[in-house]
Amino acid sequence: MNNILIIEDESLTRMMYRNFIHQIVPQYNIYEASNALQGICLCFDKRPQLILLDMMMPMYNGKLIIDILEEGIQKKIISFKPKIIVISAIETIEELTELTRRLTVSAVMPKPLPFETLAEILKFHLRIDINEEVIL
Amino acid sequence: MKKQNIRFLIVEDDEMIRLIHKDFLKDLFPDAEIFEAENGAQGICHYFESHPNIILLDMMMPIMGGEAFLDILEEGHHCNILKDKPKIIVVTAIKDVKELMSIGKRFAVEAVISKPLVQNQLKSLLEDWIS
Amino acid sequence: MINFPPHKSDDFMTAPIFETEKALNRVHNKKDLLERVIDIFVKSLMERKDVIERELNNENWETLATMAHSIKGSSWTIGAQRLGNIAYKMEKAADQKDLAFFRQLFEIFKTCVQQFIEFDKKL
Repeated sequence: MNNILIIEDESLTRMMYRNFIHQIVPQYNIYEASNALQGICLCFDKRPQLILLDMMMPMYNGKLIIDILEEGIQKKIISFKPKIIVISAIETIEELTELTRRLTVSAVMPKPLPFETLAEILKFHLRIDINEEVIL
Repeated sequence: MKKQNIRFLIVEDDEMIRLIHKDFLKDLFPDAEIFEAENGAQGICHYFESHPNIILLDMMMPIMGGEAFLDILEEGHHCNILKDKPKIIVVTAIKDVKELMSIGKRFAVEAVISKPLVQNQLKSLLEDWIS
Repeated sequence: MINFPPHKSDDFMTAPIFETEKALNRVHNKKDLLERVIDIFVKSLMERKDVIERELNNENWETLATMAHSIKGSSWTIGAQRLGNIAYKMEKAADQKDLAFFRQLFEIFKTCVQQFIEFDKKL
């Protein structure tokens, strides 16, 4: 099962990621959540290998996802372990440091994320060979 | 709900209270599976992994509380991601009547009981639901 | 002559330390369960007491309020009325960020913890 989950409240950004991801790894199913609540539900439903996570969302932010998955993994309640790629505007060094220490967070990237960078991230974290000649 | 298929989830940060609840449930329903969570985050994980039918939910917990737990379930159901609907009994130290009433109206919440839990209240509810 | 009403913080000292009957009621009269429960309770009291000791100097009010709230809940559940009442006052003091009053209550709390441990619970 090859699934990627995008958790991002801005619809244009989601569309852009979907587009990019599909070009890079067309064999992956892509799921979208517009808020953290949907995000966590989809996460359990689809068990994605990779999650692209925005931190800044109204009501519940990305921290919800990270907290839940971390508790689940540490207490051995859940058997899957998705990799979270945080793609977000980070305000402070403290926030950045805090995020990088979290168990489930594999990378913290700034917004906006260039296509090439996303391609590298996907290639690295999904451990696959990507055709380097993707047309932009 | 059949006795043989009952799965309980206790979401409560106080170890002592969890023990009392668990013991009580085991007495009433010896065949039931009982899952325990120290906070809402663990609770959500257990929920998705084991699909308990009946949940005893505390509201105030560290890391993630009952409010977020209910919000997640509600949204999941709203978006059709979650298909089954558990029965949730909120057991809380909250005293504010308005707050208690609004909790009572939340998705899947069947009852709101004040702490400390009086077990007979719980017993009659459960016996109504479970054959 | 001015009549001073008794200080509000004194009323909890009249509350019972522990009510064995009530506690047994909570656990369906199972003595061994109650013993286990009391063990856990005392252990958690000590842990929370330590946290309060640490965080008091940092004036970490959120944590202090949470600790007091938890102690209150557990105490009242197990029938440790006196401890629960003090914890309730501590929670309020933490909400008000009243350092002096909280410290005062905390000292009394520590005494009451000892009282609870030493109390003959007749189990």
